Amino acid sequence: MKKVLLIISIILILILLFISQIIKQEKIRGKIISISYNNNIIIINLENNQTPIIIFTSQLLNIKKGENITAFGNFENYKNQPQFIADKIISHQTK
Amino acid sequence: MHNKKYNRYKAFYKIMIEIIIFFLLGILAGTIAGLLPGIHTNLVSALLLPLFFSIQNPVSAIIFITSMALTNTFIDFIPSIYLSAPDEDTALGVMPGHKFLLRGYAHQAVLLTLIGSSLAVIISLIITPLFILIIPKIYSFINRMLSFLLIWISIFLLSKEKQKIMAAIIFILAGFLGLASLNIPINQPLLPLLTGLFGSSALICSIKQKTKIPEQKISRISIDKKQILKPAFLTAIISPLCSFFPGLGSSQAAIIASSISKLSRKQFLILLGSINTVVISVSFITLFLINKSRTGAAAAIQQIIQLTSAHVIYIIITIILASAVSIPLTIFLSKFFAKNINKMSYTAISIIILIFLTIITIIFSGFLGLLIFITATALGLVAIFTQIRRTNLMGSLLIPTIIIYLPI
Repeated sequence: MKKVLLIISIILILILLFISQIIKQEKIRGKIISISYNNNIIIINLENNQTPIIIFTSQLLNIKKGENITAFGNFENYKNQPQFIADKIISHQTK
Repeated sequence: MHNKKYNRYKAFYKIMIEIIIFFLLGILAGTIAGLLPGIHTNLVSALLLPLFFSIQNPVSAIIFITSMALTNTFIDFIPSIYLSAPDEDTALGVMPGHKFLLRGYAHQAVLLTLIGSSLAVIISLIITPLFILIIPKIYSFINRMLSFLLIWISIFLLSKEKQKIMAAIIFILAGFLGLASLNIPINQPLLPLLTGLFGSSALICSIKQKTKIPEQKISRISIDKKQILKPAFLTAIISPLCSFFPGLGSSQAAIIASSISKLSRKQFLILLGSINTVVISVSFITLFLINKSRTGAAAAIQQIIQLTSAHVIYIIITIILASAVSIPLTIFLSKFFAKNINKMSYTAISIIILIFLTIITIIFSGFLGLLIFITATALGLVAIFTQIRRTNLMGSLLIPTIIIYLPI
């Protein structure tokens, strides 16, 4: 019984890891060098990263210049320029 | 002039009555969420958020959220101790709680968490100003060292096992499961993960063993004051970290604290109760001071309003009043459970809870959540059958947290 359960657990964990790789969102991490708000679109530029992060929201974000963030979303092309459409932003700084 | 004064008084009474009503509604919501297995205040706060926006006076919404979250931290040990059905903050309470239940002392186990929660209110009020001064100064140091501390704790956990290799396998598998669960974009990933690892696996075991619950004794608790001091001290040091560092929750804090110093089963329950309440209380203060939300309740308040110092005073008063109401309420509910738990077939109760947990997992986390729930249950059962301590299943949170904080 123990062995059967252990094998089932391993197989299911492998399946979940596989699923997480297939449908997982991309992420970008870095230090914010600029944030601009424009008609429900927020554009964030990170240090050492050419791709701007775009967020479609009417809310103000709880982050500021100089903070380290991780953005979760997907890369897209707009007018032949790559951009990162973020669904979620996590800040790694408390100050 | 007289009329103006009368109108002002009338408006004041109207606001006061509204505040009292929202306070009581918060207590009611916290009680229901606490008693329902697997339901966490983060989930309730997210579900009720549209309702909060519709409340005209934001202070009423703040009071509702605070009283709900606080009451929940007192009540939510009842299902984890009596029914082996925890939420994400009380998962570690299942194991010692179940041992107390099988000996007829479940009420005492609840009282121990209650001592912890009551202490936590005092601890929160004392330590918050200190941490506000200290944490920003040592933040970057702790940020760099956190992953190494967690690695040390993981090794420490495994070193205490007799079957070290099996424990390491379970710990690492739990870590992979945690990584997969947190990387799959589903709602509330911790719900299927932790209820599976700690709740449903214990329930299946109870069903399989046809566990019979002895008559529960409702007696006063006998604990030395010195025994209370140790968990209180550990809570004061460790739990505020959870309010500052993302990814650290009550369960990780409990593991860190219990690794630092050896605790008896009673002390561990006090520790769990106090950490749970401190994390919630301090998170409101953290929101005010550094505008970061580390709990679902604080995040809900953040969405509604920018906190001012006046709001913080309301929150502190609500924390104190909600605790004063929650203590007798928890004792009353625990006594009710203690008197009635052995009147019903525990196997039947376990089956009902198991079905309930499965349904809420599907509702809130979907079918991928169900897959996580099944996997976590299977791994939880492996830990039970191989007699590996289930704290090793916390690898599911420790390994992802270590990866987040690794300085690479």
